Amino acid sequence: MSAINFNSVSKAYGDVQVVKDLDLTIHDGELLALLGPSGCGKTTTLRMLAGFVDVTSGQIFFGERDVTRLPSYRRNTGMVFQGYALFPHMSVAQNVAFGLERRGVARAEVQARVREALAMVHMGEFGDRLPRQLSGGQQQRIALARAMVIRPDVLLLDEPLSALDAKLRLDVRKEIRKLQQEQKVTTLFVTHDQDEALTMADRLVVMNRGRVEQIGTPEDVYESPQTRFVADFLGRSNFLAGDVTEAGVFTARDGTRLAFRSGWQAPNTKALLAFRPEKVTISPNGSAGEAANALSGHIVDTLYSGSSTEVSVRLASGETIIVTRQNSEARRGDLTPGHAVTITWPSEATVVVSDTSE
Amino acid sequence: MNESSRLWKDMLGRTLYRVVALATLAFVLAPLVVVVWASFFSNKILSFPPQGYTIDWFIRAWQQDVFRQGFLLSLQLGVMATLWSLLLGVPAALALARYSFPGREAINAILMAPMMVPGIVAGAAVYIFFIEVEIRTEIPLVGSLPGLSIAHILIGLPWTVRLVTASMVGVDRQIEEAALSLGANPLVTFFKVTLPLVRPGIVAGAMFSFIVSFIDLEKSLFLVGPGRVTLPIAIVNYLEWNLDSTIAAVATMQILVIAAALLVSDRYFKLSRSF
Repeated sequence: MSAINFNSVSKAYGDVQVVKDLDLTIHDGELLALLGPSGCGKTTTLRMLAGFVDVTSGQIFFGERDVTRLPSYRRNTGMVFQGYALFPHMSVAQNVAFGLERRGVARAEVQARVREALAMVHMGEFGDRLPRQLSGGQQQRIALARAMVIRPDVLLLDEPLSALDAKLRLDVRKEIRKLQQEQKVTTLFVTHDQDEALTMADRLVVMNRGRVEQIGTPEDVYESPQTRFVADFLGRSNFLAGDVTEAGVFTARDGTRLAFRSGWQAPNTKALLAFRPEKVTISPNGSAGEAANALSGHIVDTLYSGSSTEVSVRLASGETIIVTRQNSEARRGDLTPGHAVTITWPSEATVVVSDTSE
Repeated sequence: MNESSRLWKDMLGRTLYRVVALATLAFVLAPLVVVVWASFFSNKILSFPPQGYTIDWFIRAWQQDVFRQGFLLSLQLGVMATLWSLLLGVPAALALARYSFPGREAINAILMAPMMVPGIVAGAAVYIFFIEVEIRTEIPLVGSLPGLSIAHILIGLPWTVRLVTASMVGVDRQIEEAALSLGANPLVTFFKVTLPLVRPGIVAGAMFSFIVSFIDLEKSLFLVGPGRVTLPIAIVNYLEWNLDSTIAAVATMQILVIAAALLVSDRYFKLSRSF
């Protein structure tokens, strides 16, 4: 086990820069999730780490070891693929033994470790089966056992859950996370599913157009997005245009002064105020109370979606704010379109983001 | 429409379907059955109905040098064509299926060309080429075994390339990457993972190269030499002056060899589907 370091790594295909100047550390034993839209460079990053893609410039280190020019078969990575990628002509046990045999491990030890690895993923009974005799979830468990049995320096998970159906996905997700924590294996997890990234990762990296937009714990990144892209991509956000007029004060277009917790604070600069739909409260017009931030407007639309209702509120400035109301609230209130309302939200749930990425 | 008339129409449709299927099968098999059957007739001249049955024709065929040597030469050429077209075709198919490089389509087209060009044209072209080479280098290619072999390799090559490429396309690149990430170098990955997965395609390619070489008439026509005649050409030559069941016996032997090859490749193809 070791930490993994990307040292200003770039990858270009001809003129197209897929990954630009990436500096990234995966700490020893942590699960780092790479999240981003398709084409953001997350898969290329993982494949550079695996050694399937050459880097154009920069270096990659496993601990002190510079692996930049090492072929994949000399890197000691354990990879789990989206499509399982089990060897169809080998039994489950032969699949798991493959990496150990390549390392010249003695036969008795191979057998012991294969047994142990299969028990670890609760597939101890299935050693003699062929992969095609197993379900998707079972195949992915075998793939995980095969990748972990070699005690890799880094475990690479390439959208490992996306081929599974929804219910199974949750189970396998928990299982991967539990094993990863028990074995303390340094892990890079690539996904486009933000739920997976938020629930599984120690830290997550949001990538966009070949660059890192933000790195942090899931809570950090969700609660304090630094760019419009992150605020919009991870969950949803409301944005208000305006200026930071003094430290901690944002002046909206209509002149309303709004408070925010953190973010980009250089005064007298164009900026965006961002806050989450679920942090906003709707109340009848004029009953704002003590809330830090309040704006008035009228309801234009509601969208019922089971556990919650999404309400669109048009402000005097013409901007539209989305509010998510939990339907568990006893008093539903009047949400008829046209109704005048006041929306309030706390300053702790408000950040200012730069607008450079759009 | 009432229930019983619909049922009746269903029956009619199904019966018609069976009749057409059986008729097609009969149409394909009838000539083969007749040839095999006729090879046992005791009639002096190939005619109908049979006056009795005998296996003399097989013995006679084997006693005739042209047939015995033709059979052995065709067998030898078939094996040679198979081995060489595997040796050239498998790596070519791997490269064509795995990598994109400039000229990839052109190379693919060239490897497939022997299948597109009519055999008689290709045979003539190879013949002229050999003569030109012979004039310049004094290496005798026309009528020689190496010359004939080269032509037969060309007959088999498109089949191995096409069939191995087809089975390579079915191999998920991720499976090879999994092997690489587990520490298998490219050579080990090829032999332990890729090769077992494309083996059905290779076996089928080998069988088809052998068969098309074994039955080839047109390409060989220009390239055989005195005392060196392939079985199909021996058959044609014999037919020019004779009409007895010897020819049916020879053809039966040919059918047996081909059927054996087809059965083997069919078995592997079915195996490949069960993966």
